[in-house]
Amino acid sequence: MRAETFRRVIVGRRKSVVGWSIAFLAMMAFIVLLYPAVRDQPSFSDLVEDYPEFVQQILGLGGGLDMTSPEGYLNSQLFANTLPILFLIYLLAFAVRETAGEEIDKTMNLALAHPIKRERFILEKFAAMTVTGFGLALVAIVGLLITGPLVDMDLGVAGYFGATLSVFLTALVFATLALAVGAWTGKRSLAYGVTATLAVVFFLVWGLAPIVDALEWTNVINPFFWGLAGTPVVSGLQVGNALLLAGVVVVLAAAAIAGFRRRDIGV
Amino acid sequence: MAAIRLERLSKYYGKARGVVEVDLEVQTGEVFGFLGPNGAGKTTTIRALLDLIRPSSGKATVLGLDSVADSLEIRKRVGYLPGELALWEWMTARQVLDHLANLRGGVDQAYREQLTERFEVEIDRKVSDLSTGNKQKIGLVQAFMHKPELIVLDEPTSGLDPLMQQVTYEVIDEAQRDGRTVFLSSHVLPEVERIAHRVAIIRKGRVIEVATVDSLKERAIRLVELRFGWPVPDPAQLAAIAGVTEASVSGSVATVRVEGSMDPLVKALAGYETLLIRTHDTPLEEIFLQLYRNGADDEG
Repeated sequence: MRAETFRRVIVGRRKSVVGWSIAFLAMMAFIVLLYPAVRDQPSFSDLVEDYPEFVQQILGLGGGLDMTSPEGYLNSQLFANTLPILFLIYLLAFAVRETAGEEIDKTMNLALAHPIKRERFILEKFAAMTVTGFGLALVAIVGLLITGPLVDMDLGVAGYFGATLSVFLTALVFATLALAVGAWTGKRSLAYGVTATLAVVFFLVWGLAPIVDALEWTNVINPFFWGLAGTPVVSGLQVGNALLLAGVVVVLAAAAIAGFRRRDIGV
Repeated sequence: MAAIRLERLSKYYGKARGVVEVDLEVQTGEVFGFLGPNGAGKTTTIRALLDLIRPSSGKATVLGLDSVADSLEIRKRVGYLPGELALWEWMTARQVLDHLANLRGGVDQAYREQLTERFEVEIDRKVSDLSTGNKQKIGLVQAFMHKPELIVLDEPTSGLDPLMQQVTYEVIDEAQRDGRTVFLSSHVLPEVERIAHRVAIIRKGRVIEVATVDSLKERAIRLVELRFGWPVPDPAQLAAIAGVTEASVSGSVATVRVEGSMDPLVKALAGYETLLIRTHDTPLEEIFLQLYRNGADDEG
């Protein structure tokens, strides 16, 4: 049997995905092309060094990254903040729309009266979210590969790929959590609320952990740490961390399915 | 085999009542009407048949299969029109029907086209541009297009013009002639009177009556108009006749309400010069309202 729900969700979002792709490309070009302005101003480095450690970490300049270096610049302008936020906005909206959103719209009522298993229904939606999100990640990588040489910035495919994929997987953890909350409860605001709050809290804690000893342990459970530590933009994909993120995504997707199976739909 | 069998089916939403201990059996091949006002529990019952909601207690069997354990098989063999139909607004009617047909692994294309023509579906218009009635027509086509053994229709003619209501009745009739079963809910009584053989009346979550449409009518109160020569009987004399529940006289014309058999009235009239007898059958609507009021009295 064809993945009819997967197909329907992708077709329904094709315009949105094209729009997001253009936005991703534009954002990559914008950030990359501004690099010379920073590179040629060594005083930026001094400025950042005077910042509190928390701010450096939040800016993606922890671990002694230099803002005027290509790696430091991209991490501080893109991978540690802009890109996670873009992915989070896209993926969270997708997850909530395709669970609680469609349930509230009542089209889910008709779809599920057809011979499709609930687990398969959610799984195909999860797959659509993941595939289009991964597509945007590829767009970002291509954008970096095209615009980088214009400003003598070349971190190589491994650096771009590692950093982009890590950030995508980090956002996917939160999005799959939103999918699970949406599938368990059918409540849009709850799915957004829980996930967005957790994302903000984990992000702040990630910034605080290096300087507050009492928070150091949180790195073990913090998706942002898994996605950004080891600085993939410098050292390429951290396979262990990426597998950990993927593992959590799988567990959350399984939770979404389990929650969705046991529920009354549309009440 | 019963097409639908409900055994003490109850559904609560938290503490709120959905339906309470509903027992019901719909035979294969019949057109069965499920009557009740809004909020009585019709939609709850129907959605439990499709496993969209799960019973709090009791059991629903559809085509001999358990509504929860064998839901996938049931949904293959059942067509369903939701009460509050929602379609994907960005699709055209054709895309909606394609998608739903694909979810079933394909349907008989010729029959689907025949249905879209008869319902005059505007096949290449976007759902978002269609009126409620035109969306409803798409909903009806998808419920019938795979020729399901059981067709479950929640308020099928809501929003349809009389012409399309007629087409709906025809399609239901045809399905029934093919030996398929139709279970439809409605609060439009003439509709049920017109197409259903049996009805269940549900009120505040409980089935209060299951009967054939004919037997309901037989039990009905009839209004009888009588024109007398001389002498005209007193209202009190008429009201004393067995079966007469109400009587009034105006000039030489008396109006009496009769419940059940006409026999005692006819025999009593033999003592008078009766020039004219005119009876009015109570529409089902009246019967329904009466059952309803009785129910309300029970509760009070």
